[in-house]
Amino acid sequence: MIIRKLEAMIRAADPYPIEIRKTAITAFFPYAVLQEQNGRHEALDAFLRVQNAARPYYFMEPWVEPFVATLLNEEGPISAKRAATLTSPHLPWRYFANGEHLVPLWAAAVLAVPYTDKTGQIIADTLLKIAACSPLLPHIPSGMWLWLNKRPSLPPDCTERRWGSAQGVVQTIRALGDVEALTSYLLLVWSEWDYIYGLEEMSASIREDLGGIWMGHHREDLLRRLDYILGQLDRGLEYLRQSKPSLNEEDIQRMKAEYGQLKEVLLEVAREATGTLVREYHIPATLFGLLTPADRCGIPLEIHVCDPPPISLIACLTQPLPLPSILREFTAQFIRDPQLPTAVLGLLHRCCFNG
Amino acid sequence: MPCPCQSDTPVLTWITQAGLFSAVTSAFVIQVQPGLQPDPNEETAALLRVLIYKTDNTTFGGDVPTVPQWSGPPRSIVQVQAMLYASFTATLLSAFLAMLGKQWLNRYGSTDMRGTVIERSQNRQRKLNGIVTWYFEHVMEALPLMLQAALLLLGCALCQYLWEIDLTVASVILAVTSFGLAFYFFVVAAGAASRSCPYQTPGSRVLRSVVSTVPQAFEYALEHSTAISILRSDLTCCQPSTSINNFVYSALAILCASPLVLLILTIDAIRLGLAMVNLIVTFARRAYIQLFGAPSTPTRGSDQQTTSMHLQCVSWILRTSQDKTVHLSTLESLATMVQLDDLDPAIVADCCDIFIGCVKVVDRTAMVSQGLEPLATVSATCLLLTFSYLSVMDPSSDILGDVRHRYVMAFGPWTDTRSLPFPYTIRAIEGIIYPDQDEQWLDLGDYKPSSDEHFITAHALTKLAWSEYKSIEYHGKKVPAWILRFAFHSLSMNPLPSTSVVANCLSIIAIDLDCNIEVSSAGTTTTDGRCVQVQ
Repeated sequence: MIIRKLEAMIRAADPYPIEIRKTAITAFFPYAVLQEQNGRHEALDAFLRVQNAARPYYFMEPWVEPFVATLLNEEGPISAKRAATLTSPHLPWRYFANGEHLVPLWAAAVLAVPYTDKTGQIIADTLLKIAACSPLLPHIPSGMWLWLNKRPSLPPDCTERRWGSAQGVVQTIRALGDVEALTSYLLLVWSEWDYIYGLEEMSASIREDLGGIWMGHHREDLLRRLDYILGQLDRGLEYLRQSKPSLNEEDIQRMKAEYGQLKEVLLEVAREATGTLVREYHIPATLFGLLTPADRCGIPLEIHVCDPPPISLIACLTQPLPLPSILREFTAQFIRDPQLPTAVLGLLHRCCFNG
Repeated sequence: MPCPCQSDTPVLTWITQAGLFSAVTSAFVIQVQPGLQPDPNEETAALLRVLIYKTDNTTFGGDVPTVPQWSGPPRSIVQVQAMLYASFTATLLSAFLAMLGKQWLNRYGSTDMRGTVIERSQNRQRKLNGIVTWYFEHVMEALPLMLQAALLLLGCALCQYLWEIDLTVASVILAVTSFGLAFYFFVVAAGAASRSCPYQTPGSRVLRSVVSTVPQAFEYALEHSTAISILRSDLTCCQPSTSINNFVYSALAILCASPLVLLILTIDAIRLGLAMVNLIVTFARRAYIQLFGAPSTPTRGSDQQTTSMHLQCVSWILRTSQDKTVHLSTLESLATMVQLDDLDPAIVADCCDIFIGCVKVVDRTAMVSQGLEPLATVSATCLLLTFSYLSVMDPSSDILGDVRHRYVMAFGPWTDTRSLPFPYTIRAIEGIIYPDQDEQWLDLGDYKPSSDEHFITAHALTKLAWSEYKSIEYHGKKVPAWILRFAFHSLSMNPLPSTSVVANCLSIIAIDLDCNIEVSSAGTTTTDGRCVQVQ
């Protein structure tokens, strides 16, 4: 009967009735989890859907904390951890009295749950939600940020995207010193258009962490994502209002400017890296003159510094193929090579310009 | 319900008084009795006069003496003697009834020697119910009334008798009797006017009842009176300065205007008559129900009757006994009752008083007095049960507010009750007393209530949730948050509590979610007759 009532609320698609009944829905939470642990999914499914239907206004009551702590207990069954993981985006992390103790438990629990696209989405959503809460941010284990390298997505209507882009969050991830995690994080918060709260810190991060000739492929991924978002923003107010009815033209212009600024910073860093390459490895600028501007931005500069190149690649380079394609293929194979390939540089130079 | 005849001392007094009255009355009866028969001395004197006249017919002048034919006693003597006999028989009858009453009371007061305490208590309650149903109290109260009536008749008879003999003596008796009668009427009126007046008599109650019901009929008639409503509306439209004049003019205009006025007044008269008839019918119906029970009510099952009698026993014992052991066993019996139909609201207050009596407050910390732990526990349980039940059945009951007041006066909101040995129950009670504080379930830690405590708390809070849901209208109907927190707390236990507790907790949630649920004294069901399902 309760499940039927929850489903009726979901069908009504009106957050207000759910909001005023949130105490009762919260009280149903442990029973739904118990049912889930016993293999009956209807209760928890209805519970999660009704909460999703009420987002972003709804979250559970803070007094669920002791029960959540029980679910996240390290010695608890995996089914309990899975249930806790699924419900974690709806928990009032900000209002927990002992949230700093719960966050590591949550991290351990979600890492124990098998990764799927759905759970990845939920975990990423929760991670940003926790990160947006300043007192809890320092307690997020570094392993959770490295977990972002799995490249999870976010729900389309995720409201934590903007809060998760705050300056403090960016600083925390930069402090890890892991460029891969930083890129994954930026790709996550830029997954859809939204306001950016940590713009200056992101710009600084791009300049300082994603500069240099080694970071070309990161920049390529990020530029591609920024192009996608700018393309979305170019589709006009009416289109964007389908997902955010309160949006106005001023907001769009502001977001365009912010994303445009990030792209400009990325391009600037890429240009500096190209200059470094030309200067230090004597690759004529004319090489890049053959490329279109878009190709130029996307060139992974590590192509020039890989060692040793496979025979097939050398053979490939001698063929009259379109240069960008060759370069990209090369990058795909040697993108992770840390060695400085002076010999390959010479070979490349010979093949491209003298051979 | 209190016993109307907890002592037979008044009956003994009435027997004595009846004997005294009958003795006095019989003296006057004997004194007047010869007046009802022909007087032989008078007849002898008449015969002697006839004899003398035969001897010397000049002795009596022109008068010719005759032997009078006795045509019956004088009318005044008959009236006096009738009153005296009435008084005499009334005193004898009251003495007879008093003796019977003594016998009835002896039977009522006899103690059963067989059966358990509960059975004997139920037997006593059955006899008490019979006493109430058969108006035993009224019958016994009729005894002094009969004696008073006998005294009045004696006074009247004496007055009339002496009036014929000597006016002065008769005046003295008349004055005293009139004073006594006037005093009695004053006493009746005073008793009817004020419930706190110590001169209460059966007549006072009757007069009070009449005084309180008749004006209601008139008020009803006045409220629905067409003429008065026209006058009233006209008066409302008038300016304050001229309202009285306009009112008078309007009344005169209406009275003189047309036959329509007569029609309106006729309708009003009919309405007034109907209201009076309605009053009489209502009164008769009440009397009928009192005498023969509600005619439309289906016969209640024996279980329900037993429950009702049980509750009456509990109520009586709690009120009459001061023994803690008796309280303990009585409340233990009450705590096992799931259905509380026909609960006497006073039981709630009794439970509260007993509980308060078991707990003392030292440095703002509540603790149970030594040796009273079982009584404190069971009285708290009963307080929760009965309070929740009453709040469902009669949310407007004054007892609820009274109990809240008593509890607050005894403990206050700052008293720490966490050390009491029944945390669930006391938190539920405090949730009722202080509904704005919904932190009750936070500091329970790992406390696991006993299955009984948990069941009773869940059962009571389900009823309370329903009651509050029905009454709260802030942003729609809602169950108080603290009750929902109880449901959450119970459902998050590992292992899960009993099925009945889970069902009650889910019922609480379902009530707040506006599911179609009905809560009765028997439990929680959906409107289509199914219970809340627990998988």
